[in-house]
Amino acid sequence: MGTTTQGEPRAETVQLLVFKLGEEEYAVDILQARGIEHLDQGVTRVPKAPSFVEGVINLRGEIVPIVDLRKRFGLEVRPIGYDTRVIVVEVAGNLVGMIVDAIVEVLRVPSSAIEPAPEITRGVEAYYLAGVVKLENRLIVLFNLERALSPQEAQELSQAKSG
Amino acid sequence: MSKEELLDLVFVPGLSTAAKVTDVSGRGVGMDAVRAKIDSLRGTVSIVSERGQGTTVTIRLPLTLAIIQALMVELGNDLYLIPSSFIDSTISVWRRDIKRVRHQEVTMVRGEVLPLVRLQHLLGLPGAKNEDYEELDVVVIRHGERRVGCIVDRLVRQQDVVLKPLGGLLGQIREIAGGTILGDGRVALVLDVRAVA
Repeated sequence: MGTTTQGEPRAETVQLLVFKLGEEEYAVDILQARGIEHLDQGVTRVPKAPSFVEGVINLRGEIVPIVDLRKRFGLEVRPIGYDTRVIVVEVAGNLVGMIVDAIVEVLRVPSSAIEPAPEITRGVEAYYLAGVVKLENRLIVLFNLERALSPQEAQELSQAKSG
Repeated sequence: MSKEELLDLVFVPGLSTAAKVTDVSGRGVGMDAVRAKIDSLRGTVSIVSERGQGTTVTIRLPLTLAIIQALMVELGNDLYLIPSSFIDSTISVWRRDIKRVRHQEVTMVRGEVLPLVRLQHLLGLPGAKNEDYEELDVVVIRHGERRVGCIVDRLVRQQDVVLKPLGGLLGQIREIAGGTILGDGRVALVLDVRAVA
């Protein structure tokens, strides 16, 4: 991008909440995030739930399902560590908490920096991605939360596994 | 326009047939507000009206709104709640009194055959301890004419709980009606008895 002269309208930017799963950096649009929580309470497991749903927690009086993104995308499952956080997002009117390995930062990028996800990415299937952000020496993968966490997807997935 | 569609107009904001309008009434606000509130609770409202006969307004609200009385039971390390309205009785059964009829565990209670269900099998839960017990706590639930004895690890107590939905991601599970938040902040799940009986 060239230099920005005064008076020129600011390029449209998006704020991304960047987090880690393993060594890879992922992000969600911050407008979809409702909060970041410590996983300091017991998770109540839910029978017959899709396998990647860890269970439910009490989030200030609301019952919120918790999804282990590692299980969701078939990555190696890790125990909860010091940096483990839950990002609470709103998808299709429902709150869902996503377990991530660590929160990195909130990043402001021009929307033009977001490119469509390549077909082949390490780790997560392109279908669940909204795009990638290429910065100087970083590659941040953007989630499509509607696809990654939708009940339909979850249902199909659990049916495919049990059937 | 069908009659149902015409009656539905009652809920349209700003629509009024009142001959006289005051500061507060006749402005076409009320029924719109009623529907908005019921929608926000995920309920439905409908009107049936017959000229000269009368009008029925039906409001349906989800069970998930309700405070219910439930029996808390323990299964392994988990707590579950069984709505009291479905409970017939609680009994204790000795292991030697349990018979098998075609893979189904049954016992005799006052001369009647009572089918037994180990809740951990129904829910697919590991860690339940009742397989090892000599004397078993059984919650007899009733759904219509059917009675089923649910074997649990332990009866904890009866209490009033606010039934809350688990959210869209988990709303499809037949065996679970919802959850509730216990006094210590933990979440316990409420069984949907219809999936058991």
